[in-house]
Amino acid sequence: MAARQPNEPQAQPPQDTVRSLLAELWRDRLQPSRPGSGRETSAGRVIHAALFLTATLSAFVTIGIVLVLIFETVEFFREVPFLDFFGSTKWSALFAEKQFGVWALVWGTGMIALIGLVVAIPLGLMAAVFLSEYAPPRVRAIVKPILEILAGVPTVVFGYFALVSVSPVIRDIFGQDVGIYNALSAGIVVGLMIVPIIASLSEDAMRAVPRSLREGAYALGSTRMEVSLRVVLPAAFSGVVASIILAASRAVGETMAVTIAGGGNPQFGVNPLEAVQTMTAMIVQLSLGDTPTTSIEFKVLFAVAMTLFVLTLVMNIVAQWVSRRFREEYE
Amino acid sequence: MSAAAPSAQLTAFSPRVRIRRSFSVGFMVAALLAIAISMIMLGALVVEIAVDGAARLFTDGTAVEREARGGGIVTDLPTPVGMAWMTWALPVAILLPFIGPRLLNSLVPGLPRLAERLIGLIVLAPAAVFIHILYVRFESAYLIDYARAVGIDGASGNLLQLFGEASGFQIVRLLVIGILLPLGILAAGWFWSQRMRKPSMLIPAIMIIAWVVYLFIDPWFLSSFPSRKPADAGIFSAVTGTLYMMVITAAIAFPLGVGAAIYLEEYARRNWFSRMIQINVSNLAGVPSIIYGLLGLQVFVRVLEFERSVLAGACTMALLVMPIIIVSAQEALRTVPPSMREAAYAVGATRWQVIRFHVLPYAFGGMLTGNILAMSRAIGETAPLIAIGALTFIAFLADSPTDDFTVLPIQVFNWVARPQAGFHEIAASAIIVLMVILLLMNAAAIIMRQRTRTDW
Repeated sequence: MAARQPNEPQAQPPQDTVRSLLAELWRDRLQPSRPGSGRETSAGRVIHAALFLTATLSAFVTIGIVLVLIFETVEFFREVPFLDFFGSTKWSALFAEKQFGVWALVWGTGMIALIGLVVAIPLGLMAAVFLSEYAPPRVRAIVKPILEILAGVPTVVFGYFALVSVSPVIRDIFGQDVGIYNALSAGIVVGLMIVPIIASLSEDAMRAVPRSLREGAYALGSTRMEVSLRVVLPAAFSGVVASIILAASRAVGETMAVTIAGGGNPQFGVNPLEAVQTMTAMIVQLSLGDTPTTSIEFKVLFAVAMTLFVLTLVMNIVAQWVSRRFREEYE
Repeated sequence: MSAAAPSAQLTAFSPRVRIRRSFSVGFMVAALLAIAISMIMLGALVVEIAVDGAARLFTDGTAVEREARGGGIVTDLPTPVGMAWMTWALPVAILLPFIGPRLLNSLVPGLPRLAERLIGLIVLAPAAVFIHILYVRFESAYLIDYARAVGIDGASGNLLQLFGEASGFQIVRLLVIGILLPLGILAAGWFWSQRMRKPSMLIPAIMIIAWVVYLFIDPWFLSSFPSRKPADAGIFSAVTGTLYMMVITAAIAFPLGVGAAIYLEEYARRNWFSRMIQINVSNLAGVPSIIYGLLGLQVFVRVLEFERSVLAGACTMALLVMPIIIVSAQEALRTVPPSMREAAYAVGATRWQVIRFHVLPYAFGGMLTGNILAMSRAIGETAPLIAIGALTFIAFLADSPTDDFTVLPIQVFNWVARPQAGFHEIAASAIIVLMVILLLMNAAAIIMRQRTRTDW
């Protein structure tokens, strides 16, 4: 074996990110991780490099998103004070007297997501328990793909459904003075939209609970419901919570249904029968008009998008953390 | 006492006999009820859309109304040659190397590999050309309508004389019969030769049903442009725009996503870099789609100056679906048993040879499934395209990737957002078309997944 280079990177700890990245790559070539990988031809190295580039592209997408959002957001905060954005609950970006209190939009988003979760959590969890503990394999084999297809129904379709079917029913129940655009009908269809996510992910978590746990509980004389609710559900709790947080994040980021059915009225009230506007709906509203790229309306678009991005990112990270941190390990 | 004990034990041990049966039954009833409620809600959705949509999608009084007005398509219509090649020739060219040899092998077993490929190309290339010619003629029907509407009868060149008085509907019908029927017959024959009797019977049955349904569909709706009047409006530009964008999206996203997955699974060491990419991919999958739209608006529309074109839309959509493709391709690659790789390495294959000739063929079905699911996500996405500024009123076909365009969900959104009930009806009709496309894609993905699942 030839003598190693004196400046072999493994000997010294990497100083900064770029160098450590290069060091990893260099080490990768010197010490093949798999058998045979040392025999790469020059063409093989080109392919290796090309595949590496495709993998780093996803990192560039994230960087691109963050840069694009930060750039215009900073521009926005040069013109509008920080407190006007985060310290107010009045939003009127399209009026002559502009107010940019983002809490009105966050409130609308939160209200619709909350209604959605109230609808989706019972339905989704019950469906998950049924599929994982009660349903015979044949039923599961049919229902699971149907759930997956439902998860793929375009959100405009749900928007249409909210407007044409759900809103009239709500008006029949609560009286005709309720507007056709209201938070309740948007929230209900958002809930229907996220039922498949909760059901499917929770069911995966429940099925991952080892059989021996169930059999142990049955051996102690438990009923099937006791096994489902007191053994399987707690054991799969981290997965269930993670699925609910992911579904909530999806509800927060959901755009078309809330744009169509929620109405375009940014407000800070507790009545779910009134029209609200979510962050996403506001972005769509401003995108539909011909907004000049130098105007304040264009810049506030990105400030709101930044808020939305951070919110969903935090939720996704929390979901990942919960499912890792509180996972029950069985071996 | 001793007589009672064994029976008590038996009761306790058997999971089917319960002490508090009523609770368990009650819970099961509640669960079933929950599922029933969601099914009823979703059933209501289907019925609502079907009832509304059928009024417009299937031929009814509106067609008569149009005839009475002496309707015709009065739009300035350039001949979309580029579009024609993109919509038909490209998918055929992509599929040719995969389908051709296999098809031929099933017809003439025992052909040498190279000859098999060559003959496959020779046989199927004319088919592609034939499809293309049909498509151009289909377009020429519009020119006829146009010529008639502006009153220049007979002065419209060779292609039009060829078809004379043929209406758009006749040509569309010819197109469907000319492509779908032969394809269905070929597919049925292939399945028969593979001893898969069920699909070989199923495909002609579906074909016949589809054909019958097609005969009743209002051709105007599928083959005309948006309009101010609900009775005149159609989804032709939306459907072709969707197809066009999907082809480009798949062409961008599939190689990039699969490449990233191959790198992460086959090349990357388990270090901080690959972990970071992995976490990054799963976080990207959770980013709201409208944010991708803003990224596309700044990067593709403004910095790269693609304008509000098909290309900008497709690039944005490709970034949006890439995480899905990466994750599903990784899952497909993980199903390849390590013993296969080790065996190939043992006989001296290089790393790329192992991947190209052993890993990829094994995982290809799974990757394709993931790709179809990603595409079905992209077909339904509206928000990012609104953010990059795709228009809703497009009265022409996109000729090149830099043209303006619209897609089905945007057209639906536009119609739903209007107050008139007439537009809600045609929105429902467009939703039916969208859902049929989606269901077909999902069904294809599910069938493919079940067929490619092999246990080693």
